[in-house]
Formats: sequence, structure tokens, C-alpha cells
Amino acid sequence: MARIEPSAVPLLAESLTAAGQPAPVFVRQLAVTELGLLAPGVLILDLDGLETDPLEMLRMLRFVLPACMIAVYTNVLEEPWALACHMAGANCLLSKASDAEQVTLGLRGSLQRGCYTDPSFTAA
Amino acid sequence: MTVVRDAEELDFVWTSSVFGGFKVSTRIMPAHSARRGGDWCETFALSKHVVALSIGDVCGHGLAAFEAMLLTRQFVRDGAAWGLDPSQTLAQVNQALCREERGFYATAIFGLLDTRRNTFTFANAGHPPPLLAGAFGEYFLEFGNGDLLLGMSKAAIAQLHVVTIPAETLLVLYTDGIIERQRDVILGQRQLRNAATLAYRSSALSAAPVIERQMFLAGSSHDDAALLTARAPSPRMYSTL
Repeated sequence: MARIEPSAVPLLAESLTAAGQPAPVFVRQLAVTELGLLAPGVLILDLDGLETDPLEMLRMLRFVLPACMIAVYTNVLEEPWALACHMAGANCLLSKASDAEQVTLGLRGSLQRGCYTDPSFTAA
Repeated sequence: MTVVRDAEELDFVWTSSVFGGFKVSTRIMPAHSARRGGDWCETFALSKHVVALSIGDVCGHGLAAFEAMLLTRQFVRDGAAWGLDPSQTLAQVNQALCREERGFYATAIFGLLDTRRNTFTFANAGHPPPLLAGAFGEYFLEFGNGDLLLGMSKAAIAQLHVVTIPAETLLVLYTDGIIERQRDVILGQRQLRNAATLAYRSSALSAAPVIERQMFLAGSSHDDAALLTARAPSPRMYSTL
């Protein structure tokens, strides 16, 4: 996970476990190349406020992790942002305003169906 | 975890656009009236010397076509990650789409660019043929009868083709929105050949944006459009790789 707020960790851990992903790992810093070597099955990213181009970051991650389920966990509840993230390689768009149940639903939906967009993005 | 932009990562940024000496560029242009499209194009690494090129077009517009595109794109990634060749990958995608029974059809090219052997191994499921532009001129990689679209017949298997990419040659993959912008495919193909020739000669520039500008594609298309280009390195670079 990239730049996940510490307060969100329990919620995401609970959701990942409920979605069938055992033993989620939290790391403070990791380079893209190292992520490619680790080859995680699921990656949750917080790209809000990233200094570099977040979409380019997504494309880079997709380049090294073709089979990974990449979820973006964001406060930017705008449909164009969700579409841009999907086009750059994200499978799943999760809202930071969602509770654990909704996040679990999104992660499970992505793992089963290949993609998911939280309804908040289209409702905003 | 924070994804950092360190020296190692900056090196990766460079290699993501120049992979094994091949300069790769992509461009996706949604139709001016559409919020969501069914076109995709992307690249991903499968090994130190092999980069996957994936491009396709799910028929239709709107949310359903967009979601079908995300699903189809992921099926391609999964097949490639399992080590299937491009023909097997598209066969698996085809079967998955047929199982969906939602009536979605897609055209796609999936290929593996081997930067050591300078080959492009690909399968084409009903998609416009790739274009090669180089010192010899330019030509479309067409092989007799085209293969069926994905999602039409469970038994369909796209043929596997292997082509050598000569030094400095430009490989262009594109969706039909590129050549059907003016609703005249013959004209569109001619315009693409001309634009690809210009991009080939402008070797210092990224090829996809050159083609986009030369064909006046930005904001003018009635259909989604996607471009994926790969330029082979010069012979001098081959000898040092």
C-alpha cells in the first residue's frame, strides 16, 4: 500500500482478510522495482497528494505487475479521476469515505470480476 | 508504504518507455462525445527481455462496454502472466468472453516483443493489422483471412505470427478509431501510413504523439482511438545490448 494513513490500516486489513486475502503486509517504503520483485496478488494504493504523476505511477506499477489486482484508495470522488485510474491500469476504485463492509465488497468484486468502481464516484 | 521516486525508480521510468532498446509509446483518445470508451492499449514486462503489447476494442460505448473492456484487458494480462503464448492467451480471453454470455465482442492484438531476438510474436483476433514503417517503406502485417473477433465463437483460435522487426523500424498498433475517423478506411489507412512514415523519420520524438498530431486525432474523433508504437533500436544499439 502506498502512503496509507495509519488510521486506515485496520479497516483495510479487515477488508482484505474478509475478501479472502490472508496476511496483508504493510510496508513504509518500497520502490516500484522492488514491488515488481515481490509480485503481490493485491496492491492498495493511496495516490492522493503524490508528488509525482499518479497516473504515470499506476502505469509503471501495471508494467511490472501485470497480474496484480491494483486498487486505488482515494478521497477524490470524481468520475473522470476514476476513469483515468482505470485506463492507467487500476482494477478497483475505493472511496476513503466507505466503511469496511463497502471496501470489502469492492475488493471482493474486483478479485472475482476483474474490476470495481465504488458507487460514490458516479454519484458525486 | 510510500512508493518512492529514487534513483532506481527513475531508471525504471526510463526503461518503461525504452525497453531493451525499443522505444515504446502509447496514446488513448476517447471519442469527444463519450465519457467511457471500449478501447485499451498497454504494455507490461513479462521478463527481462520480453515486453507484452496489448491493444483492443470492445464493441459499443457506455458503462457496460467500459466494464467489459476492463474485464477483457485483465483476461489478457492473466493469460500472459500464466505463460501462455499470444494465440493461447487470446483463445482463453475468447472463451472467457463467450462464457460471460453478455453479448460482448472485442477485437484485439496481443503480442510479445522479444528485445533480444528482435521479434514480435502476436495473434490478431479481428483487429486492424499492425503497421511496420521503416527504410523499406511501410506495410500492414496481414496474413490471409483475418481471425474472428473475441466472444463470437468458443472454438475460435487466432493464429500465431512471428515477424522480425528490422533495426530502427517502427511497429504501430492502433484501433479502428484511428483509421475510420473520416468514415473512409482506405483514406484512413493511407493517412496512417503517411503519419507512420513521418514518425519513423522523426526518430528523436515519441512516435504515438507524432502520429496523433499528424492525423489531427485529438478531440476530433467520433470513435475512441488508441495507438501503441514500438521503435526498434539502431544496429549500433543492438550490438551493445
